[in-house]
Parts: sequence; C-alpha cells; structure tokens
Amino acid sequence: MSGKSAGKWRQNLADLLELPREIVLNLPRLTVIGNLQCYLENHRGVIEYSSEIIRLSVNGGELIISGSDLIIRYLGSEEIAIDGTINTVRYEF
Amino acid sequence: MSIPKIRYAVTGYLEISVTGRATEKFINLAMQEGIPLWNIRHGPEYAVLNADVDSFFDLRHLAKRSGCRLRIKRRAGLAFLISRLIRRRGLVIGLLFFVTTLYTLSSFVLFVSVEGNERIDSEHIRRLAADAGARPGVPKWRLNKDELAHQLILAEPELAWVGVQMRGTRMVIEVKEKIKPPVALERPGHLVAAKDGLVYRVMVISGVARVAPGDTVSKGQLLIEGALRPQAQQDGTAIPQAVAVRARGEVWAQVWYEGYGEAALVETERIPTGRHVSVWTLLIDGQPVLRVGRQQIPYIDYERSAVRSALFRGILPFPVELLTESSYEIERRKQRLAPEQARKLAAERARFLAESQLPAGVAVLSVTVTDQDPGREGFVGVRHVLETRENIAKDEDSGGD
Repeated sequence: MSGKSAGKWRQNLADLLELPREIVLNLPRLTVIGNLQCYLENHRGVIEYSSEIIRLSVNGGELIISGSDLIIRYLGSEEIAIDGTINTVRYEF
Repeated sequence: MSIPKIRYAVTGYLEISVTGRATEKFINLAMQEGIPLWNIRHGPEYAVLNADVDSFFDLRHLAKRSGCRLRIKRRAGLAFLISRLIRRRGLVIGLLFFVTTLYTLSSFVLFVSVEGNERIDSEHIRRLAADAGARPGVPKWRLNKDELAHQLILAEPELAWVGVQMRGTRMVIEVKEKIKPPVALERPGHLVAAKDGLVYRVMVISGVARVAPGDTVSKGQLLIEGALRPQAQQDGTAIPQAVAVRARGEVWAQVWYEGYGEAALVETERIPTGRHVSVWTLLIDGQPVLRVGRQQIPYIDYERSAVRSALFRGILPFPVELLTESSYEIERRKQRLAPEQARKLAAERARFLAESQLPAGVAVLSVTVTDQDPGREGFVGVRHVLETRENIAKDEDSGGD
C-alpha cells in the first residue's frame, strides 16, 4: 500500500517538475525500429531467450518480445539491443 | 548503445559456445559484472556469443558458478591474425621475398626490342642503344629515355625519329626511318597513251616520237619510244645498237568524254505519302523475342527500312537489340512531260555521266550537246560531249598517272 502511494507521489512530482518519467519512476524505455530492431534501456536481466522469444526482466514485471531469428546484438548492464524479425512486444506486470 | 565493433576487430574477440541448462543465468551474471557481450543467439543445444579476449577468464569463472561449460568456437580479429602470422613466419617471409624479388626484377630492363625499322637492322639499333647505355640488365632509374632517343638519332643519320618507352621490363625503341625523296626513274622505258585522243602536240625530251600531231591514238598505244638510234655513221662502220633510255616528254591530245542520257515522255514518280507503319522487334542474342506493331502492311506499294539499335550495351553479357522496321507508303504518280521538259531531263542525266568521268583539274574546252534517237518509242535521248586538252603520256610501267 505504501509502495503504491510512494509511486503515486513520484508520478505527481514528475508531472510537476516535467521530468522524464522513466527516470523518476525507474521504468524501462523501449525503442522499436520497424520490426527489425528493438532497444531497451533500464532492464534487469534476461529471463529466457531463444530465437523465437526473449523475456526480459524490467522494473515491476517483464517484457516479452516474440518473433523469429531473434539475437541479442548487444547486452550491457543497463541496455540491451535485439535484432531479428519482431512480431509482438508485450508487457506483463 | 552499440559496442565498438571496429575496436574489437582490431584487439580480437572470441566466439564462445555456452552449454548448460541455465545459459540465461550465465548471461545475467556477465551482464552484472559489466562484461560486454554481443551477437547472442540461441542454438539448439547451446548459445553462441561473442566476447572480447580480456574478459574470457572472467567468463570462465562465471560459467563455473552458473554450471555452464564454455568452448571457444572461433578466434577472430586482427590480433589473432597477427599471432597466426607470427606462428607461420615462413609464409610471411616467403611472401615478402616474392614481392621484393618481383619488384626488384621488374625495375630492370630485361629485353630491348626495336619496332618500326624497315631498312636498318634491329641488331644495329640495339648495338647503338647499348653504346648509349641501354642494354639488358640496366636498372630503369638510370635510363633517360629522351636522352637515349637523342643519342640514337645522332648516332644513326638514317633515323628520322626515335621514341623510347618501357613496357614492363621490355624497352621498346620505336624508330621511324627517313623517307628518301623518290628519285626519278632511271630505268629505260617507253611512254604510252593513258587514254584515247587526237594528238595535237608532241614534245620529246628523250627518246623517239612514234606519233605525230594529227594522229588518233588509243589507250596503251606507244607514244615515245625509249631508245636512241644513232644515225648511220658516215664512214660506213656498222650501225651501233640502239641504246635504251628512259623516254621523257609530253604528248598533248584532245580528249573527249561523253555521256548519254534518256528520259521517258511519261515518267513515273515514286512519291512517299508520309504515311508509315512500324514493327518493333526485341532481339535477344539474335533471336526475336517480342514483336510489337502491325504485322500486315496496308499499302499497295511501299519502301521498307530497318534500323537495329543495341540496348544495354556493356551491361548485359549477351546482345540485346531493338529492330525497328518501318514501311513507308509510296504513291506512284505518272507524269506526262512536255518534249522540251523530257529533253532537259535527259540532258541533265547525260551531263552528269560525262562530267563524272572528267579528271580533276582539267579544263573543259568545249561542250557539245546533241539529240540522239534512243530507238524506243516515248523516249528522248541526249548525248553530252566534253572536249579537253590533256597530256596523255604516261610511263608504261607506272600504275597511274
């Protein structure tokens, strides 16, 4: 309950100061270029990956990217870049 | 952020296969340690990933913790290439030796060839060049080509021009010999008639004239004989043999050129009406492939023209051509000419035929135009005669004038 209200408070602060929400709320920022490339900042790790599906842990849930010929082009501690043919991008919170 | 791939291409990177149940765990561990990984793809049994060389030992440590096994599949990058080359020193040395030898050998003149000489012996020119310092085995950088060409011209007065050029290791001396002005033919010979004519003046420089003014001569007839016949000696000694000389002189004659032309009183003219149809055919490798246009020609009388143009020349390996066949409609129109008009037309044709025979630079003295019965009904004939005066003497052994 308190976590939720803290989140509300942060969001209000972000609105008030016009700060980027992903920084204030520590949320992932996802950039999808066509269906070819997907670039995620602020992730928490890889849960599962194969050439059809990649599940990534993000703050508060997970992000599921499915498609074909998926490869992780780059994996860093904060960001991850995925190449391949992307069909769906789905959040599960 | 993309990883600096060019940097790793220089410093070298590894392609590692990871076997185990929890490859995700391994990857997350590496991520947390801040080891950059890229091109992670999932194979049927194992994952393949690229990592730089320095972090491989850390990765092995992580693999042990996550229960995975690592195997290096491929070493790539410049650093590995260099170390491989250092291991195969012999190959590198051989390669360097080969290049150096090739370079060294190609910087010497190995052959000297002479081109363009007809009378002068090639060996002679080669000797002269060797005296000037250009012999096989001389390094190219010591040769001064212009200087050599100069020296050759000075050494051999028969040469008009010398060019020296290098074609690889071959030095080509291109020469041009002096052309001597044609000397007058001194061999004995006669003068004969170049064409038919009526002789009106004979001028003999040497030889004996065989024609006199007023004679009609035909082509090839002997005009001036190339022989000197001494007069019979007064003292009764034997007449010496005729001495053969070169006949010289001029024989001027009246020469006629004639042309005959006819014209019909009813002339048929073929006049294009301006209407035409075209058929386009695409030819590939000479084979018709596609034909567009009207196949049947709707005209009674027509003229055809075909134009072939090559398409995509130099792009496609086989010839592709567009054949354009056009048929132009022709209308025949009969034109009735007045006798005066027909005569004018015939005279024009005759004049053309006569003048086309006229040699260049010959003045026409007189022109005679006469009507001639063509011997056919409905036609008019005209004869056009040009009279000139020319020197018709020519050497019997010379080809032309």
